[in-house]
Amino acid sequence: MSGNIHGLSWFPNVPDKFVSWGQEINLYEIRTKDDGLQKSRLPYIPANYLSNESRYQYARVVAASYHSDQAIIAVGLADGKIGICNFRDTYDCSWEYTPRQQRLCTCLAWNELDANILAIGHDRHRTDSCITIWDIDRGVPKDTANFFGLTESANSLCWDKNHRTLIAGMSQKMIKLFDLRQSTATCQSIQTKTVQGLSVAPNGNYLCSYVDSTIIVWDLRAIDRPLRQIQSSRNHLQISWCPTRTSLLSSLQRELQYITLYDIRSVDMDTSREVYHVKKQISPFPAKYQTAAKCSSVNWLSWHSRDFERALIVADAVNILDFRLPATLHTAKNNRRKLPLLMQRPLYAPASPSSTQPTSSCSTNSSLDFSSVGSALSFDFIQPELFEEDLVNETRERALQDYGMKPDCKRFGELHLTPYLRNVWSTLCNVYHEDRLTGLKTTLGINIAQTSEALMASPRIESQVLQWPDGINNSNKLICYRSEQRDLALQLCGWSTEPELERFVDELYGHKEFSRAAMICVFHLKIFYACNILSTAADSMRDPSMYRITAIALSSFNADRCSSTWRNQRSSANMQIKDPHLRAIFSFLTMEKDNFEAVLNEEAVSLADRMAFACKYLSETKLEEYVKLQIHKAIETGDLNGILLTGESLGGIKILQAYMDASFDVQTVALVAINFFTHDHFMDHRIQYWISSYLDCLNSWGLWEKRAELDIKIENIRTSARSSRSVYLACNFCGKSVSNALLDEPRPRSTSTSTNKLSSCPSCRKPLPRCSLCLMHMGTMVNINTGENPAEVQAWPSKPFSKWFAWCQTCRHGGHTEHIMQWFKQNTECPVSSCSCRCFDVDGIKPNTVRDIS
Amino acid sequence: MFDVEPILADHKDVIHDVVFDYYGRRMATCSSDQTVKIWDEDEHGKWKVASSWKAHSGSIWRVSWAHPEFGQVVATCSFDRTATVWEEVIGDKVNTTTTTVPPTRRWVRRATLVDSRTSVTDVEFAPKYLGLLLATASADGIIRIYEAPDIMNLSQWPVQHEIANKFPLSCLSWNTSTYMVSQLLAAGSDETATPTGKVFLFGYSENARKCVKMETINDITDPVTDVAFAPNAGRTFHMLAVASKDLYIVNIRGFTDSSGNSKLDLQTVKFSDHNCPVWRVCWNMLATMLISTGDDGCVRIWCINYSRQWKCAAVLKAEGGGPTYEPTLPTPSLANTASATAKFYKKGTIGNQVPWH
Repeated sequence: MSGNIHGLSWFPNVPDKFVSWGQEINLYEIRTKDDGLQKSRLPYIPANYLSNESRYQYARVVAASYHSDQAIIAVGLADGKIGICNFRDTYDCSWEYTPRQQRLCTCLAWNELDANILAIGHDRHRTDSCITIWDIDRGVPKDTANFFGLTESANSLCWDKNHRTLIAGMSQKMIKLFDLRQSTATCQSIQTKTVQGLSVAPNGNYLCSYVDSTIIVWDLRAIDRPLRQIQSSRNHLQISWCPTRTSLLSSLQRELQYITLYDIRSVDMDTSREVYHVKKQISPFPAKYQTAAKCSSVNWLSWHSRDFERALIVADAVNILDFRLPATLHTAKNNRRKLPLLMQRPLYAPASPSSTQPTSSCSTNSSLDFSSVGSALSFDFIQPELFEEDLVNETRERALQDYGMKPDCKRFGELHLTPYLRNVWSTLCNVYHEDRLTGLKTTLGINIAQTSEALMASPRIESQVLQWPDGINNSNKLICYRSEQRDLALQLCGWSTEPELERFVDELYGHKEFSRAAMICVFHLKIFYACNILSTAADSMRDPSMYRITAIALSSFNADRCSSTWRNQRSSANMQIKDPHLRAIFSFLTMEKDNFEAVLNEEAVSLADRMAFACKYLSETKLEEYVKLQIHKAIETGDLNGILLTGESLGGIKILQAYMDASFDVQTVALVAINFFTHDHFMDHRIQYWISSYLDCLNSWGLWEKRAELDIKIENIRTSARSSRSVYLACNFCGKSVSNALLDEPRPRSTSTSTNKLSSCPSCRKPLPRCSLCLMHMGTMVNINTGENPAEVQAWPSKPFSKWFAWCQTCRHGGHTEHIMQWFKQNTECPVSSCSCRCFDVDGIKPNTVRDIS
Repeated sequence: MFDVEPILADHKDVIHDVVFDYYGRRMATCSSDQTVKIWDEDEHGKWKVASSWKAHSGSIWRVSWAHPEFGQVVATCSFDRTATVWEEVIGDKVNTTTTTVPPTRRWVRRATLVDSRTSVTDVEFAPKYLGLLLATASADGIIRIYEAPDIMNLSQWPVQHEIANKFPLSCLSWNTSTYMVSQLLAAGSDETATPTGKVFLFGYSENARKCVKMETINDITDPVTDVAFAPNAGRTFHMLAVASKDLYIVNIRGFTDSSGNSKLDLQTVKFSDHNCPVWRVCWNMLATMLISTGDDGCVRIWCINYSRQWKCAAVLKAEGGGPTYEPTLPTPSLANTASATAKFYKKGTIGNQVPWH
């Protein structure tokens, strides 16, 4: 490598070549794909090293010229000498210029219109001028017309794009404009401190200059006052306009890894023009570079004159990187499954196939399709597992499948539910007893207010010492508790009572819940039955080993003999046995006297099973403790199974809230509340809020029917508070209810009279509104196209929506929905002759969304 | 699984904002080219520009949809110091003979809000339950809340509240939910000079009968370009995403202190994965996903993981951007393979200047 690189520059008219300077001056060419086998000399950019310029070391400034035939640079050195180099000719003294007084060369600028003209800026000297114009074709400048600024210093130089006007920042305090079109140059000067760097915008109208952390934008056509001042927090290093955009100014700042871009805009107000900017900061480093170098910074930037928004940058003073401004993607919050991405422009420049490519060697990757913008997006999945469950999509799918509309466990088979939710719903269905979700806490009579002694004194609890079956010889005496409440609790947990146990276990077996069936058998001390279950299950399994081994272990289990050995094994075995139910079996068989902790804390066994177990074997005080602990845990973790214990209570709402906070799943929370929290707590503001949020979700997806179904369900819950009816048909004239009269007419009539029974208000005898199409009065039946049987028509509640009346809310004209729908299939205007209301378009319903309503 | 839908916006200049309506079937975009475009989705799920019009005489910063209950109404704000309310109306020309041609729709200017003396940087309709309310933020630091007292008459928008701040404001966001907190409005400032808190939370004070500043988020001292409240379907805490030098998520919990005043408990989490300042943030509808866009155009998607930590799950990049060249490895033995796998494609050139602006 060639040491530090101070700067680089594209050749404006030699598109693929660039020069870098620093310790050495090197010329490179961007290579095309053909010569890709040769190792690039620069690690981050595919460029061929062409040649170098060894005469000038430690160049102060280098400028690439506008010559289109060859790559020419001007080099300014610390002693004031200026050299011209074309990387081809050997040493030639006529291409060198030395000022009369030796001092630092500060800046160089080539003229774009006349490529041979170079402006040179030097530091201050009291007997010499600081700016020299050199026409390199005509030899070293001697004419006084070529010298400007006696006893001043030049800080920066640049040429106007359109005229031969040289703009110079001078003596730290002013910008001078030298118009060189006439033989005697005229000079205009502006007082400003921003003279460190100058740059003219690609359209030639704007000039910007900077000092320290201030950028000032000027209009060259009216340069007396600045257009805008841009202040930043750090000092600027270099500013330049992007040549392929009209108003994009880039700035590098000291020791910063970003390129700062100012998009400069103007707006014409009533009297004045106001200029503003949009600032962006972009890190130009590819990800690989960033990981390699810890704290990178951008030192220099050179825009490519033709390639769109392309630049070369010098990073960390050693590396050269190729950089293109990335396209910005826009996205917004919405309720769709796909993430919409809005792009400013096609991701690749629309190179039409017919257009002649400048170099035949340029190739396109076959996987990149120009016509489809999607293929040019790059996805980088960092944690793809987080996308596996998309709650929004799931919520929508579940809503479409009538999730939670009927709390019937069997129906959940068809739904996309996680095993967890499936389990919760079936548990809650079991507990839902006599139209109430009571909760085991209440069922078991556990109440914080009551003292546990009182409960212990309760005579209803029987305890019973269970006998282990023959052959097991367990000296541990198991005490089993029973009471009415406990029996009920067992039932609510989904367990059956002793006599029906076999049937229940067989049922589980049928559902392929082998290990759970075995576990329940073992808990009932029917160990041999459990062995049977496991060994038959093992036959039908693909991987039978675990069941088989368990079966063998159970069959030869002898508590007194092997429990201590088992106990030793258990801790390690627990790690390895994957099936929680089998783990629970072993824990149960090896427990110490009265110590059920291992079973009770087996989190993977469902809470219902654990509760049932607790109801069977725990004494009253311990049971109470256990229930309270589990409720506390459920509230902490947001475990919906905890509702089994709390039932419909404030504790239950707390569990729902905790689940909501953890999962954001408003659907489940709302539906659990609608299905089970229907009594005292339904009007709790939290529940009402969840329900309304969920209804709002359904609305936003346009799932009106699902929402209406849910609304009906909710209304039915509120029966107690329900007013008889909230919608009345009232007469326009007297304001009395018409619909009451329609309903309160139970007298049997002939069909013909009943269809025409109401043409006027029953109380004031004024005519009722008529359908604007069939001219029949409201309340009359529509009997076109329907070979109906009269019984169906007369039954008021079964009247379908299409037979109802509907009004336009704008013009107040209306009629039978069916007629109106038909009318608007063919017409856009209201059916009433003099009315030009476009009733149907008012809603913004698109024609294709209009469906037949039956 | 996750899917994206690329849409090509034919704005002639930088796009500043994209917003979907309540149903997600219409989209509004605004740009520095001073136009607003309304997009509709056709039967095949493709987005088509339904209307496009020059709305302002400066860059349009933001656009906002009103709730559909109030009709098809959008509001825009611009550098030209105004915010404007637009409504879609059905064209006057009546074509009674055929219905195959959909009725012509156009957007009419209903009101121009000219109170600001500087650029209006953000505009947002309030959540529906507050009525037809509109908040604007401007570069002179004033938040104005306008209300249309008669929702049938969109030409009257009297200023209801005016909150002055010391700092220029760049963005605001209504909290759509009042679950367990009072009504909240967040605003951010892009002021660069002072290292003080740049995000402010405003609420309605019953005692003072006006909107007051409730809280300043002091953890965020860098200039803020965007704030977004997460939709809250009933969590006990509210989330505010802040786009600044880094991405922040602020968890906000309302509580009542001993003297009975309602207070806010703030908890700020910072994410520095963007290697550049963050430009825009938005949430999905259940707030399970946060999407942030950096200044470099890179979109990052954040999901919450099992332990309730936000993690960056994916990065989306437009490949036109970065260099396609792979750096060669420094080890000489691998030099051959490295340069063989190195790719550099020229994607085509652009004839000199692109006439934007």
